[in-house]
Amino acid sequence: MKELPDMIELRNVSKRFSNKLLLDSISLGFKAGEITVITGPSGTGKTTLLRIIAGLDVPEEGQVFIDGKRATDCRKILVKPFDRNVGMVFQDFGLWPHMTVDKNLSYGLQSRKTDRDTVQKVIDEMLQTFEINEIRSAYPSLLSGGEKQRVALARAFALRPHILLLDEPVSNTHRAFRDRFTAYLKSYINEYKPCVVYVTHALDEAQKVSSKVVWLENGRTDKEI
Amino acid sequence: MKKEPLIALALYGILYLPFAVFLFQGGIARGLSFAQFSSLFFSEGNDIIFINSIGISLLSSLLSLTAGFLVAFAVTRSGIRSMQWFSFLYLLPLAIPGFVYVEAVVFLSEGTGINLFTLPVLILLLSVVYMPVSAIIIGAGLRAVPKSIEESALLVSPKNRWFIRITLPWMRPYFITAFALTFLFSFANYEIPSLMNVQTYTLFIFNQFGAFYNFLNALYLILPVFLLFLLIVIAERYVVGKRSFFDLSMGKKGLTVETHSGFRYLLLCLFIAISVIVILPSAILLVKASSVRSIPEAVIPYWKEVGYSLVVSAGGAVVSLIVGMLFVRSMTAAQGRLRYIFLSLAFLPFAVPPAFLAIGLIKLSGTLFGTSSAGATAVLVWGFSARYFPIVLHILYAGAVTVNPRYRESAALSCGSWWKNVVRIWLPLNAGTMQQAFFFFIILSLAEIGLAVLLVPPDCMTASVNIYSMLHYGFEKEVAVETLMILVLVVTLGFLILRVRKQRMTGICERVA
Repeated sequence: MKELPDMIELRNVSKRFSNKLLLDSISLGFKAGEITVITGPSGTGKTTLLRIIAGLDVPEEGQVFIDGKRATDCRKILVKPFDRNVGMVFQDFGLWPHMTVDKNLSYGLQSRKTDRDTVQKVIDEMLQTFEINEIRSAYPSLLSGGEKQRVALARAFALRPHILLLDEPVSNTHRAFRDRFTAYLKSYINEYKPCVVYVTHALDEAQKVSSKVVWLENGRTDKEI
Repeated sequence: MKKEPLIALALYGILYLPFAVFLFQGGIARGLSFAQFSSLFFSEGNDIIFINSIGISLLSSLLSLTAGFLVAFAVTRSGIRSMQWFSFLYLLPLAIPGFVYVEAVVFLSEGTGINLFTLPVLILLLSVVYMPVSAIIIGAGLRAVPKSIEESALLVSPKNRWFIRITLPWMRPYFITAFALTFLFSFANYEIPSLMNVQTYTLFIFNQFGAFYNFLNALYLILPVFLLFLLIVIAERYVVGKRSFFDLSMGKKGLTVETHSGFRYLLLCLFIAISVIVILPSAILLVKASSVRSIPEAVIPYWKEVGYSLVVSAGGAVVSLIVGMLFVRSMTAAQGRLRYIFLSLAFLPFAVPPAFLAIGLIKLSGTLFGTSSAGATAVLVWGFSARYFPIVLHILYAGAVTVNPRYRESAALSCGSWWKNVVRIWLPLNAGTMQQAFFFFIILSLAEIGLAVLLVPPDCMTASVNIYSMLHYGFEKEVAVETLMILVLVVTLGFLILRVRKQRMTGICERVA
């Protein structure tokens, strides 16, 4: 069977913070319908890698290709974050504090000019899936860490993005939810075929989620576990 | 570079265009000569006035720094319960225009027969007027100290040593900023020395220019001030770095420092003194205005001037907020060298003396608007915007840095429309600081005289300039009435700020949570 081309391709991406070389000429490919887990010690640039893919950060060297199109070239963003069709779960969630859970979920959909009925349908589905129906009218400040994380997940999945960037997406949730989420993620990938980049510290979690695990250490991706 | 930072930089450039035109076209292009400068600056004791002004500003800024520190400490760290009532009181002197204090001095002088038109009283007045600036900046520092730093020091330090050895050294940039800004404001103050009949260098420049309209001479006289201010701003910029120092929130207070009972009484006395400073001039105004027959009759002659002042101030505030919003958005999103450029530009306008702006605007407005009255009003709005833009900018920046950058980033991933993301995400998250900056701007510009006295159109008059003109003929009931009108307006706006401060406190808690 012919292998699919990479949906995201990083070519010799390097990034420095102060004097520390965080990413050292990283070259990686991520395919549609596949989960790639990136793991490694703290401070090795896992989150930075996701931010570079999303177009929220720029590398000092190297390029990022999305769907074969050059999206980032060295320090230049050629395709805006919004146009990359990315759904991202941030480590600190980034939920808009002045909007209720409902509104946090609907903002992106409304911005994509989705009709009202579809918005409602998608939101209801997300609220059910991520078990946050009871807090749909609450503001983020009133939520627990786990609830916030589930809202952040729901917000990212609601957009049905082509690329899903998940930064420690279940670190604050209980074990039962983690298992349900892993199952949901797999079924979601079968249905929508997004390209998923999953960052986690926990190696056991990484191995449960995907067979493709990349170890990032000292700015390099030497091993594939 | 993206469009937004470019637009922000272009608007910033337009705002300070008069200053640049004056500097380059009025001076550098015509060939500045050191001989001409020295013959002007070192003749007739002008250099002595300059040095005296530095002395006056140094003393008044040192006084405001000391009082500002005590006030900020009392509110944030003393743990004295009653201090919460004073957490807004210390801001009030800033809301009272400088000329109101001078009116009180005139009244007391006439009443007691003691000559209060002296240098020490001038220094005292300047330090009272700018004490809240010091208190706000030092208060921002005392709130910003990371709790972990203090707690780890607390575990190993006897008594309050942690505060002296850890907190205060950490606060150094805030002290330097407070001192630098109060120095700049005191040096540039026009109305208080003018009404107190004390010759200062700023007053001298205005008088020289007002009498001869000689642009080149004005430039020669302003240049040393500009260089002095620039030096201070560069030094301040160097120590402050990326810290924001204009925090008006009443939120986090930090660890309580154990205080001696004597020190507590001292703090209470300080607050009583501030209360007297706030209440006394207002009471004098009421006494003076009490002889009017009917309030409407007394108010009607001045409502046009007060209304005009309000319109011009609000116009200036809107312009400043728009430019400030674009600037702060660009500044917080920028990285590396660009961020450094934005931060430096944010400090630079503090180095522009108001006389420089006013004379530059006169030079430019003649070319742009001729003698049109609407044009003159536009120039006044322009002048106010440029004058108070750095303050607006720092208030907005202080708010913007407390907002988690992830909100903006997740908005950028969710919606492609710049406008929608600004209106639905950025503005609601920064609404509190936008309102604060708006009211703050209006309060300051309603009392503005130095700039307005040169720029005010011939057929319109701002209330502050009118009060200033009338005061030269004595402190009569008309002056008291118009001043009270301004004061009522300012106090109303002040209460609105307090409301916003409370809202913002909740907002910050939500954001941090």
